[in-house]
Parts: sequence; C-alpha cells; structure tokens
Amino acid sequence: MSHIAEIKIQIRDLDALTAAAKKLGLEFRRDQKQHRYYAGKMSPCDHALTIAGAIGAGAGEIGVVRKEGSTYGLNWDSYGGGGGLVAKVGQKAEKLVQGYAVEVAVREAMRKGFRVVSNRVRQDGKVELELVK
Amino acid sequence: MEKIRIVIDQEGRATIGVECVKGTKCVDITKAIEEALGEKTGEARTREFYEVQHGEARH
Repeated sequence: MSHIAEIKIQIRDLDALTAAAKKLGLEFRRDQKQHRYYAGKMSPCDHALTIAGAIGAGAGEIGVVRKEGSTYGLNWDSYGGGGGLVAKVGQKAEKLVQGYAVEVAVREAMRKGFRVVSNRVRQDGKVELELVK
Repeated sequence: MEKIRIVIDQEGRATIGVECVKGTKCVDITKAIEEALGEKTGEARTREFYEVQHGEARH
C-alpha cells in the first residue's frame, strides 16, 4: 500500500443506511419521530429502524437521530438483547455500522470505476473489502 | 492495476489502503471515499508513495 488513511465513520447517507439495514433484516422508517427502546418506552428520533415483520411492544427499534454537521447517531438499548436487535446488528450495532461503511465505500469506489473482488468478515470480526480497477 | 483495501472494525473505524501506479493519484482515489465515510483521523504515505510520485520504478 502506498497511501493509508484512517477514518472515524460518520453516518450521513440515509440511502446507504437503509440498504445496510435491509441486508440485516431491518426496515428504515423515514420520519418516524419516536422509537421504542425498552419495555415499550419511547424516545424521540428523526427516523427509525425496525425489525422487518416484527410486531408487538417487545420488538426493539433503533432511533436515527440527526446531530450537528449533518451526521446521524443511532440510539437504542441493547439490554436483554434489545428486543431482538442485538441478534441483527450486534451488541454495539457494529454489524450495522460496518454494513453502512461497506455500502458507502462501494458506491463511491464504483463511481471511480472500481469493482469489488472481495467482501468478507475476518476471524477478528473486522470487515475487509477489496476493490480493483 | 489499482487496488483499494478497506478494513472496518467493530468500533466504527475504517482503514483505507491504496496501491496505484502514480502516487498523487492515490490520494485522489481515496479522498472521495474518505470524505463519504466520515472524518479522517490519520494518514500515512509509505516510501512507495514517494517513489512512484517521483517517477521511480516501484519494488
């Protein structure tokens, strides 16, 4: 590698977030202004992610909350499995954030003419993506 | 051939590495991806970068 950069991932692209969430079995609900986070309690948000097909007050939801600088945060409660969310997104929503980053990186790289040759989860849990042109 | 390798950890950090023919182009290639992904927290240009930038043979 002749150039290496380190990036702190920030969620800005809701289309990419929607695509990543869908692959994990979640549904993006634009403009849902409250999300259920624990035992039926509600918290404000700008959009929400729900488990596709889930019904009942026990199903957890992730609040997508707009922050400064056009970025979004993910608000949710993983306690007790987060109403099924931990199984989908991981204990810290890492699968969702990793999936989001893959969506964003692939879209941007494809605009530059690259194609994906490898997209895998390593044994250490990190996602490794290789693109070539 | 130009090659990009991106590693995304479980803490919300990504490392982007690029191999390419011309060193200056390496930065152009990754800049758009870096900006789309988030905030750059670090950067390193290896000896290869400067070698190719100055038109010397790689390897």
